[in-house]
Amino acid sequence: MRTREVIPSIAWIILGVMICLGSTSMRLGSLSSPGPGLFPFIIGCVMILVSISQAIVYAFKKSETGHFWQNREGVKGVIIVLVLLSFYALALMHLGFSLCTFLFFVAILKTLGRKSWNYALSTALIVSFFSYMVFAVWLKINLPKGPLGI
Amino acid sequence: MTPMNLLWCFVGCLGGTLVGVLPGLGPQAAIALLLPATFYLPPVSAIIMLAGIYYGSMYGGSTTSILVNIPGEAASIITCLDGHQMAKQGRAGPALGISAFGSFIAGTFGIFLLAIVARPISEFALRFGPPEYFSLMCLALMVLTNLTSAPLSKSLISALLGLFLGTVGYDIFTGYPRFTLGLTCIMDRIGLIPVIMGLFGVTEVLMNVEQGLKQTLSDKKIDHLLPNKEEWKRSAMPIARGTIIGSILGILPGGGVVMSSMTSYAVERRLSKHPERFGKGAIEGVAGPETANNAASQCGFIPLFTLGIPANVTTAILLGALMLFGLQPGPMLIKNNPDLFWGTVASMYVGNGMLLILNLPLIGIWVRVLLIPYTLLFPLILLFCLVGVYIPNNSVDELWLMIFFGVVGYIFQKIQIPLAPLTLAMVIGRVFENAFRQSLLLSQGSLMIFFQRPISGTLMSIAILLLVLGSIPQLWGIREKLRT
Repeated sequence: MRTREVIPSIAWIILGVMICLGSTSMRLGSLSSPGPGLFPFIIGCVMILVSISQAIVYAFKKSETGHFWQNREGVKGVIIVLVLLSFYALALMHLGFSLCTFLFFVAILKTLGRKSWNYALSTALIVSFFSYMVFAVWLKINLPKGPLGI
Repeated sequence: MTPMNLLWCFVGCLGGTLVGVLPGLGPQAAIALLLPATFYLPPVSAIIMLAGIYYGSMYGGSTTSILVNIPGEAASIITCLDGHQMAKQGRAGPALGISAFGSFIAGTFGIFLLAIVARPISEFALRFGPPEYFSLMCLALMVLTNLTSAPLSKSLISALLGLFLGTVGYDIFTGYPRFTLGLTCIMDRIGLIPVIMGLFGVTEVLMNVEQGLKQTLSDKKIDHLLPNKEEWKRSAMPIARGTIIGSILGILPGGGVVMSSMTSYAVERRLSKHPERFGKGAIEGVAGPETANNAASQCGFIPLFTLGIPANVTTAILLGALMLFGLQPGPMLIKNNPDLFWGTVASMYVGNGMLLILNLPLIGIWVRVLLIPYTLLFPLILLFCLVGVYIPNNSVDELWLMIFFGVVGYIFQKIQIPLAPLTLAMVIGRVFENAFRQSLLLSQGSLMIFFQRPISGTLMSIAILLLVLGSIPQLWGIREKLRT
């Protein structure tokens, strides 16, 4: 059984069921008078059918070889990027655009880039300065301001 | 074409090439990243700039394929085969040069074709009602799902997800909020910008970070951008054939761009007196596919402008962008907004020429861009994405939406679910549903309306045939061989 294919198929079946249930909570109507829930309901049903057929096909195929996460170091990098992006979204309105951008670049260059503190701090400073000049000053885009007023 | 619009076309070409050159980012990401820059312009100028971005990014993707052996998008994969080999032999200049000239010739042909056939097709399309549109979109989705490298079932699931995402938000008929989960940022609908930035910007960065992207930039000096007489002689017929192949396949809604470059390569290899040279730096292996690629991209605008149906993912994103500007591509566009249509056609030609005249001398700059370490480049790409998503609505919620779709895209890439059907389905989702519901209202609930009307019946039959053919197990082996 190809678990890497069967597990997502089960997930799509569950999603299809949730879509169908969600659609029934809206008015389905009828074919002659379709309600807001009819089209999503049809999508959900087709998704369930396709996913079941996919699950059955892959359940009888030979198992795949090799690890799913082939590059564990790389996966750590992915998690770091997502954490830093989340930090940016959380902190943007509080710290402002320039400070957020500065901290974002320092963190990425230190963690993933493995650069020295000098390199990270100076590059982050240059990038946040130029991006502020381009977006806020030249293009006059209204970006969030932080405690430093920038 | 006012001087300002010419300037915006140039800016678009330059910006598009700059972003398109970046390894891992293709035309979709380039348009996604640069789309917010067009919001401050009047609609005609914005679309002219967008067309310039589109061309520039296509050409930038070819440059990356030749110099760094990293295709900017699926259609540029073929260019890597012989283009990068030419670069390693110190012939990057002629490879880049023939790619630019071939693209210009194909683009010129495509634009004339667009100008000639647009009006007759639009007038024919005025006979289209909701059933015809629904059937045509079914056909487009079926062609695209059959042409991806993934199994049909995965492509179908991707398309179904896209259609579902298109339903999120207020129902246009009843005003009922659907699947909004109480989130205000998706009450209207899920925004196109966060989705494409997430799926094509953030996902690409995540995949490259995981794989630890290593650039193999050719260190040979790039000179002699103009092909010599012998190279021109060998490229002439591939360019001509590539133009025809790309023009025909590019009009097909669903997937002409990738198919055209691969078909052109296969044809040139078959017709060549020395097929053993292919894969080792044969200029025909660059001239034909690059020309076909550009012709298909150009002719992909025909169904977009005349029918309002995108031919591929990139034109799907352009369709979404046009709708953001309050324009509805379709047969009424040429009738109601002739200045917009002809302005865009003229700008395409100007953009094509600009790419030829400007991008070749600027090769030195593009090479320097490629020398920027990826550890510095990818945070810049992410910054672009963050600012680009924040600007239109000053919404932090849309940043979260982008991050969510970045994760979704990453997981989809890992489990080999293609993103193209999802994107196309999501862009056309609302129109698709509206056509379906209007058809049912017309027929008072009878599904036979899709088969009783001649045009709709023909389109729907072809779509069903494609679905059946794609599902037949005996054909799986043949499809696998065709894909490889």
